[in-house]
Amino acid sequence: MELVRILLDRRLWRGPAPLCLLLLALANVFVARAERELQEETQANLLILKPAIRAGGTPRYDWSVGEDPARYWENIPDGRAQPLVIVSGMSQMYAINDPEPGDEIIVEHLDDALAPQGARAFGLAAPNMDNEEALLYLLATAIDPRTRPTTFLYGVCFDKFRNIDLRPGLLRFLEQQPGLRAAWIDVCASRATTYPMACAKMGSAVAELQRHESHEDDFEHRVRAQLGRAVPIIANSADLNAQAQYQLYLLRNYAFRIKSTTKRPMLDSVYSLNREFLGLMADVAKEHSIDLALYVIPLNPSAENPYVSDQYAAFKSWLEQFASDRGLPFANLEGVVPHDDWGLPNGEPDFKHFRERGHELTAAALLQHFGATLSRRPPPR
Amino acid sequence: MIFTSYTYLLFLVVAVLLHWSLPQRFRNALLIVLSYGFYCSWRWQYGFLLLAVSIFTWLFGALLSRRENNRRLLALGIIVELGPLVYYKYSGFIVANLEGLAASLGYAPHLHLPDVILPLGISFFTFQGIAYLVDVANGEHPIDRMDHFLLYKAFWPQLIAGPIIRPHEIRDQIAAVRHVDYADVAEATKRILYGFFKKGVLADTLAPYVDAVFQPTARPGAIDGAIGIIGFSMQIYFDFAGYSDIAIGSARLIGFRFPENFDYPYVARSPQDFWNRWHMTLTRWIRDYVFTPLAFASRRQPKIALLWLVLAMALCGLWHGGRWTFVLWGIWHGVLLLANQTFLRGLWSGFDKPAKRGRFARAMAWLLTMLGVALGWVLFRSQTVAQAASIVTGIVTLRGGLRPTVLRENGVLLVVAFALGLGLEQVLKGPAVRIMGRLRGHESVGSAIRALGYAALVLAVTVFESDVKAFVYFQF
Repeated sequence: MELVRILLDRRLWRGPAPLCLLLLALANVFVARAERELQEETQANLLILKPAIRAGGTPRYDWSVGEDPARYWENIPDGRAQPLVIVSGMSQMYAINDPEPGDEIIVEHLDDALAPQGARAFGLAAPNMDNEEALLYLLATAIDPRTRPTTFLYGVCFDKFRNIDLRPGLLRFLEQQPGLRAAWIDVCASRATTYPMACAKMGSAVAELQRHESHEDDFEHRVRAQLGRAVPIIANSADLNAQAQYQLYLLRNYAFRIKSTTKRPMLDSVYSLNREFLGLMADVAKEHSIDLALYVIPLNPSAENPYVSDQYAAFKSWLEQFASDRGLPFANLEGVVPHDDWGLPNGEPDFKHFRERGHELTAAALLQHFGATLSRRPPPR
Repeated sequence: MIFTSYTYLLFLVVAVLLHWSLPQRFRNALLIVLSYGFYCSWRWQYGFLLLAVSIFTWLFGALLSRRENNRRLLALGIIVELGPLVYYKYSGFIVANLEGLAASLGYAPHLHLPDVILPLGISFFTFQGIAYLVDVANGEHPIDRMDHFLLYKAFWPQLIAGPIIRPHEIRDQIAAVRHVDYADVAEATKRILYGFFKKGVLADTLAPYVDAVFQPTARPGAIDGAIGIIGFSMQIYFDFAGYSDIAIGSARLIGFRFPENFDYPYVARSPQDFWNRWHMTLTRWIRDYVFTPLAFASRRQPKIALLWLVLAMALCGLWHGGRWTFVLWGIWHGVLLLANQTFLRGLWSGFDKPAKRGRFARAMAWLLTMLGVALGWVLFRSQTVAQAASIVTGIVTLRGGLRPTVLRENGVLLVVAFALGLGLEQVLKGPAVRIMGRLRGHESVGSAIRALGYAALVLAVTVFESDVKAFVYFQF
């Protein structure tokens, strides 16, 4: 009776509820109509190439760029049948300025070049990828003989030493693979003395997973999925979130006159943490008889960049010394892509992403520096 | 079942529809079943613990009410009530400290403790049980019907993280024929929406930045430390106040009125004022069941009563968890309250008549209060005393200069923007209420403004609350 009385109450129909529901219905209609644009804008924000432009039919790298690597995991060539190179790093590995249909990215050029020698290459890259995420990819490929590479080729980017954490897509990936999770826990338990900060960080990722793990979560996901079928805003909440974050980013840039090249000093604590993760990568690679090859990524020689020059110089020296101490193949490819091959997104020279020619030149430089390593047969394991 | 989940919304809608569709005589039984279902959705085994504790408390309350001289019996009841709490929450803490003590004496014992998972809400339902026994021992009439008592203990909106409801606040509502009208539904819906926004949008957005600063291995600089503290001050407020909003709103949809738990704590101009606005139901519980009996016992020595204040707050800290950082947080607040009563009385009193105090005095009192509260939050959020000391030292010694060493620019900007937003909200709430009051004659305009605001909040919650995260206060 109470509920009927409330429904018949005039205040309900004259209050804010009907208009609020109408506004939400309109917002849903708007989102339903703009669904495709929203998804495309999210992809554009992640610098993912449009399907029409991507080369070839079979994925030769993780097309989700870290959002859902499990979807492309089966596409990793069989490392038991041939030498396998995993190419990993940040957005430079897969983004192309002024792309044309059929353009290839670094890993595809490498794969083309290695295939005649009986080797294959596959890309596992993600925007702003940090060393904790690179370690996750290294470990994920290493623990399965099918995906275990002979070489893990990692393009090290100075700027990414300011980031840490596993993105939601990779956290989900860790959650979905019990073997990987066990290996992750094993690494952080066995090396806590040598890499205390990195191992504590890895432990916190596992704790985060344990907090979310329950049947209740499964039920919640099912409820969301069902609601998403009827309510477009719920179905597209992740894309709307990405758009909102992007608009906030633009607002920040406008309000504080920040550009992508505004000088940003390194964050000491995060920098140290990333260095520890690189050390862990070297250990894990050695343990699984994988060659970890490191290179300093190309940088536009004529564009401004956000690096504080003495910090960047110190980083390069440290990385070279680190590779030398650990006996890792190393190359500095900073200058391999000339100014004309970088592109001008938003009318400004891009300091980090190049045109297709840049991918070709980088792949050629990688072959020149690491050629013998990349096509070597895997040792008996 | 987390409050800020679609599962909970579904549960709530079904609960409300069933409750108001059933005849009155079945409603309480339905609420008991739903409450146990809610609790068991997390870990069904602990439903039996809740049931056992509830039955014991009810029976013991009946026994207490029949005895004239019942002080010893009451003490026994309180000890039994505390048993599960001590076992599940403090055994690890006690054993670790005993081991430490033995090690310092040259022994190296290894006491093994099974890994236990803390039952949700145990701190809350234990305090509720103690309050009931004390009230009955002091002459209040016990709840006669067991089903009423089971509902009082298990009613889901207050079960996990409060508000801590005392028997007299709810017993009549359980026994009465409850009603709900449009005003109740409107107010409840608004509170639930506010709760979702505070938790899902505000608290959860702040969480990763705060977590980065308080990572055990991070070595935050001065800026990170300061931003981390400000961020956590807001995160815990939005988190817990959001939870309380949803609890109060959910109860109101069923026809219950719960006491408020927060009243703009960050406008407080003294530590005492802060505790009158922060987690108010816990403050009242500590005052009535810990401090007042102790102070009464030593009423002829008022100076000792001040020490009881520190002890009561230390227990309040310990209630939050078995860690020395919580105990020190409580002691810190006890010292602040003691200062409020004694040597800083001149600074921190008289604000009940603001006209008598100048703007500067008010600003200084507020600033010092917030500084004290913020320093307390460092202890509260840190895992160890050493970590808290490191963060404070980092700020005091300007570690890292004026550049962050942990947080990126976005984190710093976001926390500052939230702090400014919270400040602005507190400043503008008065004028906003006045403006809405003036619109009473133009109801359609007022309704349109509110509709726009609510729609914006719903959209923000849907877009930003992309994954469910547990409430901070669930661990207490």
